[in-house]
Amino acid sequence: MTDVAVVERVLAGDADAYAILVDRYYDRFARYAVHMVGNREDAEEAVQDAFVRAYRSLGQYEERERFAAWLFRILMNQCRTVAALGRRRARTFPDVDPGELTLTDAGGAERQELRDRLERALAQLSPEQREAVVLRYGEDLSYDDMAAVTGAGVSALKMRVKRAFARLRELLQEAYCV
Amino acid sequence: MFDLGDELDRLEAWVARELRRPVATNAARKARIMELVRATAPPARRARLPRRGRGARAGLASPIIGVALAAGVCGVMTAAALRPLLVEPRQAMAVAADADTALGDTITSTLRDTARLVRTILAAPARSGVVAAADLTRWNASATSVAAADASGVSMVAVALAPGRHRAALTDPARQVPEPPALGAPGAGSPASSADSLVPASDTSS
Repeated sequence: MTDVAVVERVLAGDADAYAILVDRYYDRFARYAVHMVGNREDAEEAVQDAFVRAYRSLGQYEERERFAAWLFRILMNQCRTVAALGRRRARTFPDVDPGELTLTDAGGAERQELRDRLERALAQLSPEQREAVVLRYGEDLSYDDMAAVTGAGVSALKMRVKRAFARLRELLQEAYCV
Repeated sequence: MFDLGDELDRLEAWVARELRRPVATNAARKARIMELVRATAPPARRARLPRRGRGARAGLASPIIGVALAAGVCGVMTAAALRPLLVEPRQAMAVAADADTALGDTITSTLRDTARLVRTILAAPARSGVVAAADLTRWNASATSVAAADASGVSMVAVALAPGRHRAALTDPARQVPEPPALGAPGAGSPASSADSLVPASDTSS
């Protein structure tokens, strides 16, 4: 069932159909929010608020826009708000997927250290730079899609990603040795 | 031979791989979303405005209507500029026992979709100073500064709030404000409760 069809069902009064959208996007949103907010608890709170806010505003969604982009923009705003209101607790780092823990090899500890350093480096970028890196590399969005969700121009985004990645590289230089 | 391009490619690939790794999520949090959704009023479909036709365009082309519209826009802009000075008592706030009075709060602007700038004016003639503590400051009384009271004891605080209802308390600067019980809970007898207020930040303007 397409997103638009689900939205139509919800608007027709079937609130439970919204669970389809939650299931469809929750993990992806949680991943984005963790990288943007820095800890799982605040990230999941931001995701929860974004879904509830989107539900309340569902009547304002217009089909000429991709639903995923519309929803994602609400999440981005929520993550920005969490940062802007200074609600971030001390940044911790994303939990390791328990399933992956069993797969780690002898170099697992070193790999985890590199991941932690990446998160620390991300935390040192400006919010705009962090957002650009996560959207480009984490969400694999094209620059056109990035422009659609951020409202920034494509050239500005290219420059932002370039500078952000250069800064990230500097921060990781010491750690990156693969 | 060392190739910077190769190194950058590998770094990019590694960053992308790491950022795309799934993160563990809390199933209870996810389930809570649907609980909140079911407790929320169903979304209403927005009424579609009719598209402007050629007739409407022809009307707008009239110079007289254009001048009238320009004058109207100027009037609205002037009123908007003056609006922060005109505080409407939007919602009565509780009066503290020692005659502290929140005169009113108003949403002065929409910072973005998810934040409203809420200004609260309060009169606390018996106090040497006032601080505001609220959910957003995690009840840390030193987190939000309040403009100093003038001779009449009137102070002002402006804070950015996410849409919704926030509980706030006005108290002495040196006082620690414990987080009050949940809204509506019986026995809300914290030191802050006698002077607290529910600050609505749901609308785009008051």
